[in-house]
Amino acid sequence: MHCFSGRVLRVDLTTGEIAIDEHDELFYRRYWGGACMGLYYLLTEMAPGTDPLGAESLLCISGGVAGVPASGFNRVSIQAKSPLTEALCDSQAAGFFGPELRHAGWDGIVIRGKADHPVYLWIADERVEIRDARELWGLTTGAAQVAIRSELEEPKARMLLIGPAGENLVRFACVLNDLNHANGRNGAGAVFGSKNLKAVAVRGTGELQFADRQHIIERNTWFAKHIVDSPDAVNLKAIGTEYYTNLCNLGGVLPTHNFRTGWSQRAEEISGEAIKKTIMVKHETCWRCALGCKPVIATGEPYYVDPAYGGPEYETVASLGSNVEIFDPAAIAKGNELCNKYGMDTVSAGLTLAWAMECYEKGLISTEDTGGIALEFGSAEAMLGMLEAIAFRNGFGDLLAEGSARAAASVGKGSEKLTVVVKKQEAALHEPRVKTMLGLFYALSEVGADHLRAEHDSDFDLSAPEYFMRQAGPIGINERIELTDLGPEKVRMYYVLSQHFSFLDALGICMFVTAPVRPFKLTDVAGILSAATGWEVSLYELMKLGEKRTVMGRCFIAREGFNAVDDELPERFYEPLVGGPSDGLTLDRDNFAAMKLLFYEMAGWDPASGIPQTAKLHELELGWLVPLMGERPHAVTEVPV
Amino acid sequence: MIAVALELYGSLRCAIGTKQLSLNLPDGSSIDDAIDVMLEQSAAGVESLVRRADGSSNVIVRLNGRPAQTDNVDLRSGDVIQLLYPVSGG
Repeated sequence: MHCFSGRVLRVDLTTGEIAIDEHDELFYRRYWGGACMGLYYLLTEMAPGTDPLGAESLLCISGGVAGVPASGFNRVSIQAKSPLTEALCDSQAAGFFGPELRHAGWDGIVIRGKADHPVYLWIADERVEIRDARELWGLTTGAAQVAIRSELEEPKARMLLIGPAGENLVRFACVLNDLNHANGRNGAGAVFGSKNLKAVAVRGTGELQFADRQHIIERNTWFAKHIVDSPDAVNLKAIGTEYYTNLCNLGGVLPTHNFRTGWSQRAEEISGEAIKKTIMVKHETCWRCALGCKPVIATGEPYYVDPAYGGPEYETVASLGSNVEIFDPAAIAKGNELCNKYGMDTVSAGLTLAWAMECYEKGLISTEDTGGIALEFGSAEAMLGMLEAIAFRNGFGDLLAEGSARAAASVGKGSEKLTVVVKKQEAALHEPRVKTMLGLFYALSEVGADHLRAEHDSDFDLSAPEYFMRQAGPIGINERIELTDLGPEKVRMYYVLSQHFSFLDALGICMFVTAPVRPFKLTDVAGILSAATGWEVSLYELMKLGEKRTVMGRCFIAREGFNAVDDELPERFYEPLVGGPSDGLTLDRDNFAAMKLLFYEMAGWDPASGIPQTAKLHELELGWLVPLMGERPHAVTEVPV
Repeated sequence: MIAVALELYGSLRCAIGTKQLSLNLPDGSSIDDAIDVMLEQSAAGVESLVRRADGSSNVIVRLNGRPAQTDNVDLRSGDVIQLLYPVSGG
């Protein structure tokens, strides 16, 4: 078999047992060694109702096709049960860990159990050890990385790491690699922490075998030359995702003041262009990527930032900036540094703070609750102080460490209506009252509100460049649709586009390299995968893989008791936006419900429960899931087969 | 003559080095004319940030905050042209 080693490492932290699973070529053709493989383990080995922070929870780490020498083929996947949502944790991160793991000869790692003291896993090609991490517990991610490399005398070790937030079971704790690449969402860091697992360090010196390496190299050379073709890729290379800030503001979709408005007069101050001019010193790249969109920044006092933790990207600029009304790039960069060194998702952290600030503004909480911190919108001091408090669960930070949904349930007084969450996960920094397809992303996702389910509808609206439209043709997106429209055509667009992003995540390929919006054509992706594996890979097969991942995730959360009732947007998205270019825009609740129902039917999900139907499972070669689903309270509809 | 402003964003602003350009144009000029004047004053390579080799546009054009056609609009003094990029996600 080319491309894959066929081997998955099994580690039981309770017993210290280390074993190997070997899978055949058919298994890889079906699951591709990435997120679908992780889901396979979760569905077959973890009982529904398992405590996500208990010893019996499963933690799956996989590389997919990371290590194929093409730009963007570098992401690592983590699957688990989310401690934030109690639904699925399915999170991808770029960087270097994924290729390193695969060069060590492992396609994935499945971890269960809980060590009786802090440990880390050390993988040096064939050699695997569980090592003592008692001296590392409590260290920041940066300090732990230095200490582990020093102890191992291996400066090239790459590692997944948690900081104090993961150790303290902050429900939105993340996992960092190389200090500025995050498996950010869904709380994977707390799962690490619950297992007393500080890090997974790896050094891989092997070579991956490909059927036609030269083809891959040639297409990657082509990619580098054609970055200039994509207006988005050009801007990512020149500035980074932060370039979205000004554009979002001009479109009235820059979340501001806890999503009350989509616009601020001060957005220019925190724009990507301003950040580039004031604090950005360079860009870094992920493994073998010609794009290089990761900002490195330098700041002075009072907000000195260690450049090793990287700079804020768009989501963070908006979550720790506009949405909490902070317009100082250095303060936002400091908040980003704190999140990376303590190991917290900047999106959930920022939205939880925004919720608390609105509660404070409305008098639902006071300084008596917050331990004297005036949680006012615009206060960088409050933002930074509270991030520290959350990571260490100090004072009011202990409540916020639970995430905004649980915090609101505790505060009460109507504060629940101020949360911007789906399935208890805070929304990303994109506005569904204007980009209406995004509302479907948020509502229907098996991981809670998630902005990376598909390309956004703004890329295919009436002003969409011809380049995007031409590149979307192979998956059947041929007509532009008005941005704020939400009808059957938009539902279909989401159904198609969501399979595209889902197969990228299933494989571990970065969304920033592929069509429709970026240079690699979709047929290029299939061609590179054919060259890597020696299989005849088609775009059809990849789209089906994307659908398979979504359906497997949907089945996972159904077994945990989720159904259509949980596919609901927060109240805020049914309130009109206030001010700016999007003033007055909102979602129509009845229409949104109708379009959600249409999506279920289009996708082969039961219209009443939102759970994939038996026929759909068979269509996707997931027939083995049928008996596993039948025992659940919201069982799939039985159909004769 | 008319005096118009060109607001620049993203990589175009970085390449030209300013947020806004003030241009004096002959009466009857269009947005395309304004863009051509901007490109004449700019370094080589800037054109690819605005339009592709096949002539299709890489930017979204707004006139005084509203979507605009670039070829058939008679500009007036005080008009503000914004050259934007699509708002992708990420």
